[in-house]
Amino acid sequence: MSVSAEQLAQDLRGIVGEDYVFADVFERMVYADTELPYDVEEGDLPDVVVQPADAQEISKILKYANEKKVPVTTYGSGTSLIFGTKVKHRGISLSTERLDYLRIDEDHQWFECGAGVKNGRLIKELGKLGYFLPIQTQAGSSFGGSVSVNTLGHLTDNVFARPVNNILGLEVVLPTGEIIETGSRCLRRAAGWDLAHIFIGAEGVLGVITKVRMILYPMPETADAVAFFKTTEEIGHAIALMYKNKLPLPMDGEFVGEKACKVGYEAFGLDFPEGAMAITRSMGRTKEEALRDASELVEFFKSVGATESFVLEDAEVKEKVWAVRENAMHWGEEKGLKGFQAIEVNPTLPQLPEAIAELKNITQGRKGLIGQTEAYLYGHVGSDSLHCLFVFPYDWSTEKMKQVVDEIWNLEKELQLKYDGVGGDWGWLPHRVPLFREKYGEVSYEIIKKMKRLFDPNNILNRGNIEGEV
Amino acid sequence: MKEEHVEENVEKELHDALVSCEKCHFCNLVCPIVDSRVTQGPFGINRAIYYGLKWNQFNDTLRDLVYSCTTCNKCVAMCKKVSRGLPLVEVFEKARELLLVEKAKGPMPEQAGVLKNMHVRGNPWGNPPHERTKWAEGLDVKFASQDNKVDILYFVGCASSYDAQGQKIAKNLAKIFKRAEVNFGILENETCSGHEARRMGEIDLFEYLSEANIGMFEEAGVCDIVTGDPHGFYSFSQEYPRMGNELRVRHYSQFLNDLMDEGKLKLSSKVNKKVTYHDPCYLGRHSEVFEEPRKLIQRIPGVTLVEMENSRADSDCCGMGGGRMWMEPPKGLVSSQAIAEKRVQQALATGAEIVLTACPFCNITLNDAVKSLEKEDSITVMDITELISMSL
Amino acid sequence: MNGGGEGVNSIVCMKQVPDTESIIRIDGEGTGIVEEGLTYVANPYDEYAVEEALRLREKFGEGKITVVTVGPQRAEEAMRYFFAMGADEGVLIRDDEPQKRDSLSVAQCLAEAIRDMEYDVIFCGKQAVDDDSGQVGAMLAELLDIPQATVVAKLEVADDKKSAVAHREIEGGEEVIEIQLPAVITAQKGLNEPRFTSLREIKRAMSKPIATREMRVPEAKTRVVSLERPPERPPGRILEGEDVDVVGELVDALRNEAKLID
Repeated sequence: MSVSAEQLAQDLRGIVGEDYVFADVFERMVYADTELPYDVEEGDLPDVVVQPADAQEISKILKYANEKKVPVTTYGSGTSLIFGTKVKHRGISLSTERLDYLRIDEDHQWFECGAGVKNGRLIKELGKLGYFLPIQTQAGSSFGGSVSVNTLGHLTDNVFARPVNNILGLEVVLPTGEIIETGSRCLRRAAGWDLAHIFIGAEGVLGVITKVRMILYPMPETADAVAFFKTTEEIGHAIALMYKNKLPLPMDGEFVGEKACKVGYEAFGLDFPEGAMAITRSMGRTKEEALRDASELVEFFKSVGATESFVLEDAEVKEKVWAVRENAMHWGEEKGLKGFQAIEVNPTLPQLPEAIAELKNITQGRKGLIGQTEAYLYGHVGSDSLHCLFVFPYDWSTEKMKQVVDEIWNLEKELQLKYDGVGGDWGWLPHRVPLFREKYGEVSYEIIKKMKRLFDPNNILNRGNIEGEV
Repeated sequence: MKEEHVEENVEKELHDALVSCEKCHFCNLVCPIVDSRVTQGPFGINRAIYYGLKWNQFNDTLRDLVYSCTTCNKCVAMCKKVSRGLPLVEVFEKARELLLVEKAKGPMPEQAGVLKNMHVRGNPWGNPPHERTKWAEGLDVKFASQDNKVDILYFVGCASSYDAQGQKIAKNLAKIFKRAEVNFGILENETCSGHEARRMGEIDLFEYLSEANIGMFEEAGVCDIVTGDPHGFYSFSQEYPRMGNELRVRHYSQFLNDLMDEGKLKLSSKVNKKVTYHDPCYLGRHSEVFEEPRKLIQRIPGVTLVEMENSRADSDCCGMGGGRMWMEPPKGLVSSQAIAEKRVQQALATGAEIVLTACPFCNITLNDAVKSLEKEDSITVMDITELISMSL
Repeated sequence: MNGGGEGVNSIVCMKQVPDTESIIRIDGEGTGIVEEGLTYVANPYDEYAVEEALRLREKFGEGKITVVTVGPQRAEEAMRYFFAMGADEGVLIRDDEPQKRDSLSVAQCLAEAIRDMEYDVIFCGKQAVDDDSGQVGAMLAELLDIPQATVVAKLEVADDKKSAVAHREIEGGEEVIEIQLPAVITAQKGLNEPRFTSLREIKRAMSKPIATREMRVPEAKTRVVSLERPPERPPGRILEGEDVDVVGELVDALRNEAKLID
């Protein structure tokens, strides 16, 4: 870039005011930190952090950045599990924190909010009025980030439409600074060209989403059920059959592999059947509907070999069951391990049991650092998604951690290619670029690069993500 | 909590405590000081300390961040529940100790005078020591001593001794004790409990003050303390050395319930009020005393108790703990007034006429916030003792 | 005499005084105060003095700061506070009967001790808060035959340490003077913001040396004839009622009782 860090801060103060430009090392460092297990280094820091108030200020910032050739990394909440917010070329960290406007309009049956609104706040405010947010990520994640990745979180794909289908309109600032709006205020989504589709799922490389208008989704009634199986593979088998038998799909569901279950049962002193566990959440317009669907699933699970399965009506038991899954943060602690890296594998339905079997023992006999880690298998019932959590000593050196993280992403690639998976719910950029290229080929990859060049000729926005730089 | 001041190892201790942070940001969701800047809130502070140590950089921004925490402990509870269980507040306090004792970077400039006052005059505001017991004039309150043996030592605390709003608590408690014929006394030379000194990182001052008070407890031959100050209550119970099983410490909400159980305190006059209760952080979350105050309130005839949106372990901080009573954070970090006003809004939303609390700091702060929001006609802040007093 | 060489050397004259919030009791003779039970501190104005010495040393990179006091053994405690702030060493001119001295005898003792020391600046507080005499600094300068600037609110020392510009607070204004060094500077409140120092630092400062000087303290040329408490202030009276009703009562009280208006 053609301007010094001091000058950069000064010029940005001219755009957003004194109070919203941060140059101190302790402020910049927080915007550099991601959920990567290894430490941030001084070279990973942006030169300056800026918190604009609205699209107009962002427009000015991006025009300035193009003029001075300053890279800009967008930052919603920094909680991306594909570490898309990692700053690779210094420059400006553009925080959407102040885009926190929220309007819930029951007459129009949509809500509008700034990209910086956190999902937890949305869930709470929508909940107060009896509406549901059809995206289930962690409460601290930014809505703008969720929308730009087009994630459902762990909700079931066949049950919910992805954000792109529930969004009625966007306000976007292009990398070159122009501001556009898409969609409309009516409930009909546009057939044919809808420019929103270009940006939703583009993972922040084609423009900065600043405002989103999304439909209001009435809060469903729910009923949870649990099924215990001797082996996790049986769960995979059950899931595949659940679809084939046209059963009422759960809106959400988690399963926990045998190893992780054992940790959870011991941690909470639970007397649950040995093996793996699946939890399903059925939904309906009424409680009766939800219970009916949950009961159907219970019968189904029993019919496919569950050692035990029942609807979770007792609040205490329900809490304990969910606690085993929510204990995920503590997996590995029983062995003194705290550094971790997770992957997602989406096998085709018939391959689920095989994939589960492979993932269960993924670290055994493996060369390289993965062989020195512990792996815990879990995943989402219904959304065809397996996770493996690799845990390793957190006092490994930064170099060693970087290496094992690389190995793990590489392993994920191999598995996704083998099981014909699609890439997981965290997006592709940057760690899954090698997978994309191998799966879809260079022609497909070139399309992404061409689009990038078209929208962002100076490669200002989130530089390094499409390139797969980690 | 053990008293361990290991200078060289403090940096390693802090590093080890923070290194397993998962960076999930859940702590920030419940923190009272989080606003638009990510760098405040437990995540920002924790990372700042971690990298400050790693890169050996200790500047005023780091100090400002570390001292911005109210020590309310909501983040600790959240991290324990969903994540790695980092002892965040302990870490922040240790970091303050490091900055103050080793790096000459603490405390916040406005707190320097406060700490000096605690040391020289035994109270944070620098009020004359000989005026500490003035609130008790004319109330026939005994000074506990070997010649004047008491069953219960009422530890008043600085705020209740000197502050007009706080003195109401002391006066009402004295009145209630007398009515229940409790053989109680106060220390003639009571000095600051040192709680806030410790929160601000002046660990040696805390030791100095705690030793002074312990000396006085021993000299007066007391072994049963009741206090209306959750900060003192917490420190006596958890932090004062050599007390352990030797001394019994109760907050008045526990003691008055005991008196009522024993039939020694009866409340007869009806107080027909709709009230809500604000859990002070150091009585509630830190000391896990949630039910006794509620039980006490509901024993007042005529009272209807409603709960705020966030109560008990989820109760929101009034903003004045952790040394923040005596400092305003720099512009850009959330002001204490904003925190207190948020809590008052929650109280107003319940429709209660009175928001009751059991801590002089909360009392003073929430009262100021009611005034700054200009809601004096809608809601009044009272200590539970005031309502009890009205019902005697 | 001038220190010369790199860095800057300062002497800080300090007095240990009772904390201003102590209860002062007049002694049996009616000419002094009862010392037992008092909390003693370093004179607050002297804090500005030592802080200025510390800042001066920071500006020049190095130098020695010596604290000198005339007083009983307990004065060492106040000195250690200044050590904790950063002063290097101290000289205690032992005097077990401080109430029998006057400003001149104190200045003479200080001059005796300081005469043979190396210094660029001597800092004092502008006055001690117990007797409010405010003379020692000026007398010391005269006895040492060096210039003085008193009630200084801002000080700029030249890079060659040969002179300084002092901003003096005077009634209704500010006097700016240029003064040759070495000199005596007496500090006014606001000269700087004294740095915080922790109890740990005070403990660490126990290792810094204090040299005790025994000397014959010159006879005081003035003596206290009597010491009295100020008369008790009568309590205030609160006028109750609506503003419009009370104003008349207030005016009447100001005119006839307090006799403040005609």
